[in-house]
Amino acid sequence: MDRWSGKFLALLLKATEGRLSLKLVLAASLVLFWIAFVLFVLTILFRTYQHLRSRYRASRRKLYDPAIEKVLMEEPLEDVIAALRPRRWGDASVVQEVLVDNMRYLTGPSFETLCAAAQRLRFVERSLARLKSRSKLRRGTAMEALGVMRAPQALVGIIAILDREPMDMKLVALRALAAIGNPATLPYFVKAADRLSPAMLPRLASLMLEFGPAARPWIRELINRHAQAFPPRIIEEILKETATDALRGGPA
Amino acid sequence: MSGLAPGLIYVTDVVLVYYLFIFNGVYLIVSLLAFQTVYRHLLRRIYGGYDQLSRSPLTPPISIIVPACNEEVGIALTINNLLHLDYMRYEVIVVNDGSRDRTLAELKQAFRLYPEEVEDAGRLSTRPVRQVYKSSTHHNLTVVDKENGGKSDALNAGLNVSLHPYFCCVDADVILEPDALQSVIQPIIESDRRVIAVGGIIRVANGCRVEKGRVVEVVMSTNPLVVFQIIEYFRAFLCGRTGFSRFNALMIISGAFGVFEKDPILAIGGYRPGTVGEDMDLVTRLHHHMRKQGDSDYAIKFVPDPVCWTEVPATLAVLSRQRRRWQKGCLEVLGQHDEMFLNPRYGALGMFAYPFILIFEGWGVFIELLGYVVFAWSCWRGTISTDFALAFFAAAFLCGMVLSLTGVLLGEMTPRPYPRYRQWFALTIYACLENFGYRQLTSVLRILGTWDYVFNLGSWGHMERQGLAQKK
Repeated sequence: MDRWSGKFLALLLKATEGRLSLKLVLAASLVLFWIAFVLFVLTILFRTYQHLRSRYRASRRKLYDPAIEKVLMEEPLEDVIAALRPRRWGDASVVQEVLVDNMRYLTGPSFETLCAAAQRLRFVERSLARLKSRSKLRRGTAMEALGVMRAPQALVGIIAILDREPMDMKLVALRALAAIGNPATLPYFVKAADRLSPAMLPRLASLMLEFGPAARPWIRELINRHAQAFPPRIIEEILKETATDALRGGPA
Repeated sequence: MSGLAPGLIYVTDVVLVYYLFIFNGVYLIVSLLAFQTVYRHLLRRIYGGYDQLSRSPLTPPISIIVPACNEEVGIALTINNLLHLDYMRYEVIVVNDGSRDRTLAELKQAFRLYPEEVEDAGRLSTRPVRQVYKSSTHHNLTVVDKENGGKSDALNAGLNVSLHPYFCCVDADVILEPDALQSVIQPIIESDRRVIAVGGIIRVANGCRVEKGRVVEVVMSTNPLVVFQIIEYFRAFLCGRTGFSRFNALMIISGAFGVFEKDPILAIGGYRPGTVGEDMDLVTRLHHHMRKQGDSDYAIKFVPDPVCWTEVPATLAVLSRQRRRWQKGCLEVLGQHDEMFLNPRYGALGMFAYPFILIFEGWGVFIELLGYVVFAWSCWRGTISTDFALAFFAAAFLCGMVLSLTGVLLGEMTPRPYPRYRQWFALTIYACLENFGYRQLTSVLRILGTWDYVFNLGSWGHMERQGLAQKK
């Protein structure tokens, strides 16, 4: 037994001598130390950047928030534009954020005033240019903003995106088209359905409902083409929604 | 025989070194993938249109099932919080699992419950249901009063009365974020594949300022035991689960909050009564069921959004009970699904996640224990040099620290991080200190949990709560 274990030990010592593990451990410790250090520094940098950025943007936002009060008080468009005009380099994105955030919730004349201001201050053009950006974040936020601003001139750019972008961006594009609300784009929804998973089709129908009565024939076509994706519960909901539209006074 | 001992020690040394590096290396790779997932998810949040999801009538309706057993402290506020979520259509089903305190009375008083006839007993067999109540103040609230049968049984009773195609199991002591349902339903709606279950990040609520059933200010607890668990939660949810979900190899969705498609759950017979780790058991059985059906085009996903806040154990005794239960539950599930081990039919789950969890999280604790014993003995006998022992411990310490710091950084990236620099610095310090005492403590608790599993000891136990919802 002792002889066997002695041989075994000799073999093991020859293979490792305890040194292979030591080298590995030392090298790994060194690498791990630097990873830990980098993580520590990264966290500080990330945190500081986020903190400073949000503070700066909040302070800049405060300068433009009074413009919304002017809109609500129905002051002249020129005054609103003057209050919203970017005052410093880098403020354009802050102003656009103020505009888009408020346009989500406003309706009627206040919304129209903000739309006109967005056009005059060239935010629509700015977002249109960003549709071609290499950054996915910029393209996504640009589409979202164009949808909220209901910019009809964005239709061509957004439809082009439908063909080439991945699934998540396609949905952003479709949402933007639904927000713009031009019924001429409805065929693109039906066409897009061919490339979407069945699970997403009710969501697509939900977006089409935002077009109001004009969407009914297209929703019908969507359901006929992809009947398996629409269980009775969904059909029931769609019927309820379209009936609500009809009760609101839309054409039958 | 005396010659054999040093040989064994050398073998053990080598095993320990490779165990350490393989375990931490895999975890680091998974964490790197988690970074990418979290970053992409954060971008998606910016233009994701969550608000539209909550408004759309076609967004799938969800049944929230809340099993409650002796939860009189704060049950009314918790349910009130659940009734005010930002979601279009959902129902809340509270299952009073034979509480011996005033849980049912509190609910009756707060929501003006009235009894309702139930004709259909449902597909899943459960302990007898005494009565079903509806609320006269909230049309979407149902309370099921039944005899005590455990959490799994209560969830099955809730499933029997649920109306919607998806359900969400929620613990009675958690606080949900208002947009929690939107966050978890988004992958179900927008994925190319059929998503049958989704989980989210559970955050630690101890110390946070809670008002009217909402976490209004994120504050870190001053209890070191809680802070260690904060780091653990960040590491487990953000490094582990986010990374594993990339390969569709997630084996657990926390029992505190998870959304599931109802049909496959009914097909597998619901929750298995009597199991300790019912959450892990359910997800593993779901994988098993789907693969058995020949359907590999399904997904179980994890969203790196904080969806709910829970109170973690603040005392050693409660922590001990919880960890022993977790370990016992984990080993039970692993034992019941041993056919998954290195089975290519289960894809990444069988080839990677199951073996990883079995070796490193299930039984790895013994390798850790062996490490401490062998190193102590080797140093004492002089069979390994002091420089090697020191270097090994430095490497082990740094591995743990890197993983914890990764979790902390990922936690910073997700919404609602700890706002003060002081708190972040404390987290970093605790991430280093964790390796001196806390990690060893959890290892001991896991060994005790393994003992419970082997000798079939222990049960759910009781978790003393301060009553989160009532904190101001």
